[in-house]
Amino acid sequence: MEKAADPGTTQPTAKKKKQVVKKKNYLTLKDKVQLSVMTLPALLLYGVFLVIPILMAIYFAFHTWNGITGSPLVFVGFQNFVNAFNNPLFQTAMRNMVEMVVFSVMFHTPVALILAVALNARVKGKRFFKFVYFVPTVFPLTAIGLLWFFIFMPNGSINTLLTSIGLGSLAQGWLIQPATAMPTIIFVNIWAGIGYYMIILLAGLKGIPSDVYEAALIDGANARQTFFRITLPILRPIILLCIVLDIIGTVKVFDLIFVMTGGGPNGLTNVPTTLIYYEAFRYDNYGMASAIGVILLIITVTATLLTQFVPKWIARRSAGKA
Amino acid sequence: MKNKRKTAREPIRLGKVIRTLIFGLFMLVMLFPLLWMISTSFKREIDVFNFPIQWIPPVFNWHNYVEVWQGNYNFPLYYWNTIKVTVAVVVIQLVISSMAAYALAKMDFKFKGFIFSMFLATMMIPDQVTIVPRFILLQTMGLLNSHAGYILMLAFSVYGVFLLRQSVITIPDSLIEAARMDGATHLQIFIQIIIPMLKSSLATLAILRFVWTWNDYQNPLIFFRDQKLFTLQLGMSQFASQAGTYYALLMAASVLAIVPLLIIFIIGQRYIMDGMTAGAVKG
Repeated sequence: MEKAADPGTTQPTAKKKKQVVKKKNYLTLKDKVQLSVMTLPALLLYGVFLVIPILMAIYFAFHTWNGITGSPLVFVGFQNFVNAFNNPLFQTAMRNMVEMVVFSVMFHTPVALILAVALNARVKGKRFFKFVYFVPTVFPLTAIGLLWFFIFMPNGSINTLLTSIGLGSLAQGWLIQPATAMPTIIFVNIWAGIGYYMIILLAGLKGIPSDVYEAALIDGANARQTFFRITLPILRPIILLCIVLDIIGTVKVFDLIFVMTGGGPNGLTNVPTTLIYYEAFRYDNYGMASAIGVILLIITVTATLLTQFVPKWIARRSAGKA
Repeated sequence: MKNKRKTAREPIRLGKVIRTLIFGLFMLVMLFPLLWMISTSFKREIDVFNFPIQWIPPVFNWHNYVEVWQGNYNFPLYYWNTIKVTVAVVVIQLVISSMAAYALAKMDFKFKGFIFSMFLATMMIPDQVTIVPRFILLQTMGLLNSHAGYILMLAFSVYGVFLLRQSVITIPDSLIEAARMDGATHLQIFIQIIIPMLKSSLATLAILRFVWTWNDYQNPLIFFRDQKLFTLQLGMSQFASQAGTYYALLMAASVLAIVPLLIIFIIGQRYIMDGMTAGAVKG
């Protein structure tokens, strides 16, 4: 409720404009009552479970608190952030996150694009392929995590396979060895996400009018030229969108890591999301957990702003060229 | 369109071969783990690590499922809990989101634009940012460790409002104005005209919300302490640490957790794809 009153002071101009543009459906008292009935549940829940928590998180990030009701919150300024960045666990977590984002971006969109283009062309059993690639995206990451956990176990299928083809020396505890734990998680994350980006790109491909391809065909373009000169440039905004969604989505990953390694061995596979869990709910370090949360907030808001501005920027640039 | 693409691609034989190969390879990588899960779930423990992998279990062991379901692992309870919270979240969210979507799309009121841009700005924020404050809030409200608190917390999503608003906005204003002339109130218009026109978007939201709530792991992990309240995902990960070495049992449990999703997916594949792309395109 406080929130609903709040905004009025900050944005009077937008409101005025709206009223001038359409005043045709004015609201009677009865309408106003109905309007409140229809919007209040949403606004209330939005305020209580999203807006207030965000503000609280920012507030907590500048305080230390052990989470016990009644115990005092102590203002510490940027100390939580300084501590976080000086903490080797957090440094590892950030490095893991960046690594995971880089590799996800490197593989998700390009592979999904190849699959989408191929599926959009003539392929036998197209619906079946689409089904197989897409279905993991609706499965619970706990089940997927467990499944891969067993495949990568020291006596799991991967090692059995390696041994049987004479590469037994490569067999190892994939999720236990510090060197392979993170790459293994990254692989599973890529595996689980490809279908999602494929579907987005496929929707983008369907939106390209067929006469564009006909024209290219008449001009004698081959498949490769068609792909690089037509498909790719038209899809560029959607590809960028996929990349930004991928960044945000990968930053959010929690279940998969929590189920597969729990952040171990020795915190080497932690990411900021799992660290938030440990700091808050294991070590009662609410200030630190909130500071890490605020860092995540900054990362995702930046990425969201990119979705808003990058397509416009590209449109302007390509318009300038033409 | 398909036919035209066909002729465009026909001449390149090599490309076609490579394409088929790439497809086949990815296919295997995507499909093998899932097949492994299903086949393992029917194996006896001693057959799990036989090599070469036996895709068809030498002895079909239905007992894994019986054991998971009837053993001391509380699976029926977790199932029931998950169904309960998932259905509640889906239904409440459909009601709340559709009402808000109608108001935001078709009614004029102060701060409308501001509210909508706030919604968009907060849509992408990860759950983990707010999880500590939400924990404290629910604790203060005395709703921690309860299904009610969990359902309330998930009863609203920006995504839901956003998705439905997109379809409400395509309904012509003239339709609503005509009803207004006849003396209908906004609530009547909403129930009698708008809801029937939103069927497919409501289905999309319902299915996606079902999948997401069913799969939710982090919120139950933090907000449920009492084992009686556990949902399937939480129960399964706990089961994994209990039954650590019984692979066949664990895979049977995983299959049980996945089956409802598979059914939903087969029924609503189109809706799921629509919903995911609609959410993405606007970000």
